[in-house]
Amino acid sequence: MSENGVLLKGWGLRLLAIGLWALTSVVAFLEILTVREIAMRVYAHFAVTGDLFAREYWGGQTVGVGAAVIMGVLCVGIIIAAGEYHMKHFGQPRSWRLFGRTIAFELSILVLALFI
Amino acid sequence: MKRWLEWLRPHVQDGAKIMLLLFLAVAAVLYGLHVFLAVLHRYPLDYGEAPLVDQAIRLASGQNIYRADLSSPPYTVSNYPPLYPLALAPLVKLFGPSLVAGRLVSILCALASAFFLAQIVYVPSQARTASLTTGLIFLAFPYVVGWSKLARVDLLALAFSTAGLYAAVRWPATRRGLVVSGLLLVAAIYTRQSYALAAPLAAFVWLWTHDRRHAIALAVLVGGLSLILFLVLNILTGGGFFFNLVTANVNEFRLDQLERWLRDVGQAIPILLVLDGVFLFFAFRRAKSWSLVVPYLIGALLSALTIGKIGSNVNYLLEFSAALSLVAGAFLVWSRERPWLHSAALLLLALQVGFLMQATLRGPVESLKWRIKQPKRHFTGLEWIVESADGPVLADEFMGILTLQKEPLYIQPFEVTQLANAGVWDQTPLLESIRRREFPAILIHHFMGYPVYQERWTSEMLSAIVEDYVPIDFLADTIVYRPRDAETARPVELDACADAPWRLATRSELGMWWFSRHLFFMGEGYENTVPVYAVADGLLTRRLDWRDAVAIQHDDPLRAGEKVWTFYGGMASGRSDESFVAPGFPPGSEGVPVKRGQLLGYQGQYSARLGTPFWVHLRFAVLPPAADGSFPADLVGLVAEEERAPDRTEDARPLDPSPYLGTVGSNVMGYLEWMPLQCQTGTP
Repeated sequence: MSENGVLLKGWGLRLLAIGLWALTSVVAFLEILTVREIAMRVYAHFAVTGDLFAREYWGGQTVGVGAAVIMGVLCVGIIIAAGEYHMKHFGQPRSWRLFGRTIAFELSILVLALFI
Repeated sequence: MKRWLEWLRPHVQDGAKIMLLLFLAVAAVLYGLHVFLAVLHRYPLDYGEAPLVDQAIRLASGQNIYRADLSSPPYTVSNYPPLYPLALAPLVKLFGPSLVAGRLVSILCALASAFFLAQIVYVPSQARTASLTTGLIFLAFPYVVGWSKLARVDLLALAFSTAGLYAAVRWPATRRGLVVSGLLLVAAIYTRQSYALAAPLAAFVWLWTHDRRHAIALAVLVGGLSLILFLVLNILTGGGFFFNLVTANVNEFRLDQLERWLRDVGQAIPILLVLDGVFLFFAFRRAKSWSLVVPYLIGALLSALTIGKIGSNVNYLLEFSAALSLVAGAFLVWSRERPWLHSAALLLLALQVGFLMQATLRGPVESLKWRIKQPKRHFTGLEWIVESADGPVLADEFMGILTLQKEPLYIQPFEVTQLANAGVWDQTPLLESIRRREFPAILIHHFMGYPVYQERWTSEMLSAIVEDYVPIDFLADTIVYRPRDAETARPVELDACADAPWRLATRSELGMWWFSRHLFFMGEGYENTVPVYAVADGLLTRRLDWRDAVAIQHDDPLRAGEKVWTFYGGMASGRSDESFVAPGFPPGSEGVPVKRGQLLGYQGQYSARLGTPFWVHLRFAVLPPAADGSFPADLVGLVAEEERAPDRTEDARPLDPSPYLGTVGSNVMGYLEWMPLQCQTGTP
């Protein structure tokens, strides 16, 4: 790390940044399923009574598909925007801060799924 | 290493903050969904809603709601000071009786309370995350989620008291702050009397640390004004104010109930309780807000401990929830100087919000769902019963249906039952009215697995109802009683119907569910208390994997020379693997001789999925034997489809139990149908 807080540039750091971006992108896509699951569970908690003929089945399916589509669009957008941002600000604290926030957000969603 | 830790520190803190805020945002969404669904439901969600709307109607028409004499009807009690019904009175006058208006007031007050709590943290610290956390974590408490959707007094009282505290914090050294704070605290007390402790105590101690004269002035203002108002109202109502608020509120205190709630709180908020302890001991004289937060917490805790009173609910935990939210915010402010502790606190609070969400989804969300998912025809059916009644209808949980029909309440059964139990109220005139069958309908609600009705009606009232009224329907978990016609509907004895070859297997006070020739006898009481008997002599079988069931082979009384089986299921706990089958019949029993009327076990809440208990019940079926004479397990769903006997025809099904038991039957197949336990002959 340099005196002014900017991480020294080099192949190692470049690989680290690319690796982190790729990892967070893959996890983001995988979390589409997690968010879909969370949305369906919330729906089930509020709407499904487990009657003999559960009319809420298609409602649950709709919520799941809706969540997956919205998350898919968001993920693609965010991955592209984040990639651009990291390229532009490579090695700067703001880039590492965004990586930190992305990882924190993705971890939070995984932990959230444990509670709902 | 140290440099890396130093580099990592802000990122960890940032991440922890993101996690906490995400969890709080999801909790806020759950809160919003919950109250939204509640507001859309126009029927009662809670026993306590209707009396308050009824009081608002009476206030709007200039009547006294604090009667000192309950020797004549209406047998109603106003347990709370008048501010909430007063707030509803103009709405009732403008829009007619509605539970929705009261619920909206509660929701707005919950949001206002969250706002004031956040401001109490923000004003002295200017800490935005801590302040936001305080407000949002308050809305994440299951007690707040569950209660702020109800037309009840509590959230208005809490909004007044938190606003009073905010005024004391915002303007601690000015006369304006003192007066505003004092008036708001008095308003809280005159919304709900239990708010006379925590917030006034906290405001007093807080002001004491700033200006002792202001603290004393606040105490004089709040105490003096409250006392004067009390005396004035008591004189105006001829002593009725004291009777309704004090005498009629002294319910029995039950330690087991307190223990149950403490256990519940411990499971829902373990992390906050630990943070409380840390803040209480380590932040003393170090945190600026200690002198406000800790007295508030202690006062709220003392107030919460009265939850052991019969009839208490989570409303006793609202102030405690507000205090814990303040501790959460104050802890974050105090730990700002210790970055790693701060990050840990953020993460721990995020996990705490996770536990709170879990408790919310399992508690208030589940209860609301079961209430609002009742078929609409059940509610309209109850409405029709009230609308078409040519006299007063008695009700408990669904008193609100009367209020919505602009019918004044005749009785608040829980309140007068407590008074009768305490020897303060003579129930004889009411009992005589029941015995004279003056009421065209009586609606008694039953909660699955918990006989709350026993707290709401005295045993004398219930006896009179059972003897002089007959259950005719089961709507929205409520048994509808009509006056008994002496000629056609005599009481059903518990043992057997007249001329029936078999005796009844068990009691069925809540009626029977018919499901494709299976009978579910719904006994009233807790699990493992309602006995189950053999209907006739026979040979008992209990297979190794039958936790809840036994079967008995009998000589068929309707087809000479043939055999027939009876099946008794549901005799196990719905929450654990405990079996309620009598110990004399262990798993693996086969061919054990039993006599008619011999005890087989007790009704339970068993369902096929452990942890999802059903009503306390016995599942009973009469079955033809399999081809080899053995028990036809496939007919009661105990054999997988692919393991069914090859010679079993598709139309093989249980026999109609009605001719064997002499009970009224049904031809409905495929879905549950409720019917009262009645004999075919009409007489036992």
